Amino acid sequence: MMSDVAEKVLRLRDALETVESINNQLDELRKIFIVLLTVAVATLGIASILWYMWGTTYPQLYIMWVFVSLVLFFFPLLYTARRLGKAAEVKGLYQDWDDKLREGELGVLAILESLDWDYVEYRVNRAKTLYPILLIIDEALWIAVLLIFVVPAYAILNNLLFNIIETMALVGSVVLAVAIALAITWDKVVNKFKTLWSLDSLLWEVRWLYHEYRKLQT
Amino acid sequence: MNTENFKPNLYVLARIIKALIDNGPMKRTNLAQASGLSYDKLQKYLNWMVEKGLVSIDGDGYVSLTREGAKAYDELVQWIIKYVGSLRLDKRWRPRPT
Repeated sequence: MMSDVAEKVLRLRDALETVESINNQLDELRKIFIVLLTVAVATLGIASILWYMWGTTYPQLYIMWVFVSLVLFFFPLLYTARRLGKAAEVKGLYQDWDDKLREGELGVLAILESLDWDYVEYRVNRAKTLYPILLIIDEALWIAVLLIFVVPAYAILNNLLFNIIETMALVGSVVLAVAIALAITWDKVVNKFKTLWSLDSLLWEVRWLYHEYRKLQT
Repeated sequence: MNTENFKPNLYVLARIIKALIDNGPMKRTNLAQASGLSYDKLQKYLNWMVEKGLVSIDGDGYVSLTREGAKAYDELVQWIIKYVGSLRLDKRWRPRPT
């Protein structure tokens, strides 16, 4: 019987670690936004100053705008992916649960007593509510990467076949990039929706256990 | 001592009872050692437990578990099995040891 309990506790730990991972990524978003905004403003500011100072004297300086565009496109992609990847790693949290579980029922009690239930409930609720944002960002990163290949390919193909390069071609390539991104990441998207569903049921289970535990304490 | 506002930690309570189940009646100093508590903290818990009838202390200072105390421990274990054991957690959460 206690092995069932231990298994449930370890499952709960896995769920809570996922919750922490999601929350850490959500916390990171604010920092990422500030860094990206600062880099964008600084890059554009410096480039504009240089252009107004020497742009008329050295017209070949226009090449600088190509570099600026590349920085403004690639830096957010790489930086966001890297920071979110790092934030997703949860280390050390609840690691003492293994040792505690070796104590049997006493260990389970130690774990239940050590949990800050209000905090756990808040974190699960937050993860559940804001998780779609991470899903959207993940897809947006994929779409942005794919646009690098799809836009030129689509434009060349349009030019060769119909001899046109127009706005509709750009819209078409975006639609194509979205479709390809969804096709590539479909399993991941489905998995994330299942995680979202699991977080919802986890929230109810945590609330229920907390309620019963408080009754036991009184 | 007034134990009205005292809210015991269930884990600590269970440790004291378990030590008494494993070792039988014990002196307070030995019980403090066996349950890993400071003497002062144990004393607070014992006052509360005596008031609730979970333990008794005889004239020689030996602490013994009452029938109520043993029953309380059983109920605690049953609660764990019943409630923690019946948590409905999704299969995606895996019970992997670290």
